[in-house]
Amino acid sequence: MHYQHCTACGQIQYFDRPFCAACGSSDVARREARGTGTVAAATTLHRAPSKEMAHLVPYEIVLVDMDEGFRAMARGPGGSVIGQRVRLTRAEDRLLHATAEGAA
Amino acid sequence: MRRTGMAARISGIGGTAFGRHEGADTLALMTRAANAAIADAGVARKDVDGILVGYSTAMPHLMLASVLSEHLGIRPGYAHAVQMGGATGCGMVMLARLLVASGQCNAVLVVGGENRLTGQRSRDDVIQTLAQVGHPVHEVPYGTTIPGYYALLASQYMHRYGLTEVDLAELAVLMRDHAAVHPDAQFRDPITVDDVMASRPIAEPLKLLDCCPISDGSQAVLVTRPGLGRKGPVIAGTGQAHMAQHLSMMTDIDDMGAARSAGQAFGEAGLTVRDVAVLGVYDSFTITVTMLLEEIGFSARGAAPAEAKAGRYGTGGLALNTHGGLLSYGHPGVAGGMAHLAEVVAQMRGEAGARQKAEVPEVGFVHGDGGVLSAHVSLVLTAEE
Repeated sequence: MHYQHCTACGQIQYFDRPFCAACGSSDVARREARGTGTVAAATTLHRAPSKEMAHLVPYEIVLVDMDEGFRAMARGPGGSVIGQRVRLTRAEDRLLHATAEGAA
Repeated sequence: MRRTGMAARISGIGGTAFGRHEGADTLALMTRAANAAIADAGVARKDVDGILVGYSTAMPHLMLASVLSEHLGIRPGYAHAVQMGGATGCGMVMLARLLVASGQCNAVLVVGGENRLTGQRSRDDVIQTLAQVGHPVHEVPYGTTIPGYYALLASQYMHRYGLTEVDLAELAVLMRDHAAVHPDAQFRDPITVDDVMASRPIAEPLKLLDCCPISDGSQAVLVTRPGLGRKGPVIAGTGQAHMAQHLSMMTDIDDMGAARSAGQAFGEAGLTVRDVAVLGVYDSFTITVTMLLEEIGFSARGAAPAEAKAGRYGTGGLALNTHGGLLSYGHPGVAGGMAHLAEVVAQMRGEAGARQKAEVPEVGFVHGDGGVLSAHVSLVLTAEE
């Protein structure tokens, strides 16, 4: 997973833009995140937003505070708790999935 | 000290019951509310010179205000649609006041309404449309829904302030108690905390009865300059705040924008939360109203559910959403947030029937939020001299 770093002011941002949302500079560089962070929020959905996703329920969604300082949404493994350390990896479904840090 | 500020007041209110209106489309529902609000104000149709219309998911037209104006047979000098999610109703009233106070308009009709429940689109379509308030790349593909976004807020807020699902359920029970005595409410059968806890999970920790329903319905108000139409509560202060649209960007759950928005409104009116006697606060979910009451300062952090249980927000106390709120009166989109305003006006007129506070309130407060506590608009109303 990637994020952007502003060379001018040092601000970081997760949502890609061709400029820094803090200072307006166009001097933003793409950086690779380590993929590790801490669970900030978790929910398990029992109602999907669309028919296409209905077969997935129940599934967990987490917000993770990444070690670089931005917050990212990911699918959770189930049973995630706030404060838990996790690693995010991109799976075949092109989504980020969280697993407990240290788990295989 | 109370200030009168820019002069504009809520002269007329009108709306349909919320629930099922088979066969009535957006224009039909909006027309019922508009005609009722104009009649209630006692203003001639030809004197309505401004029209603000909230978006309709059932009728996503490019120029809804022009379409409605033509349909009503009104030729306003100022008209357009507004879209701020659940904050739209309060946002339109804030703008209507600016239009009247600036002299641009004398009477601005503010309308919301749609057949969100029984329209052509399926419930799945509606849920999918609403989920688009999320980020198209970093949130929507994960399969979040509106309840899912609020559940993620709830998970953080409950963890920080030690609230439980049973605590949140108190707000659902209170809203149902209030709706029970309103003939136009969608859900009037009493519920208990146990009923809320036993309802099926939607997005943990939120269960079905923590969530507002999808409804058909409409609501309108007429904002006029003093001297035109029926007297009504003065819009004494207004405020807005927009901290971020997307949940991933909202890392400070103690500063969602509600207190900033309300602070502006109270500051302009020269009043504080302690002056308020009747409240209309957005309650799309039990967590929504809990967080808003606590951030704005009506309750301390983590205290709103216990205070709701103890009766502080009943008609004998702060009189919160005495119509039953979105949770039980119903939620047809923009009109849902406007029903809070209509109820506060009814209370301030002394016309709330079985729900009326014993002492007619002189100061009211209304707050709407759109998205995931993304857009905030606050209104402070005072009795007209």
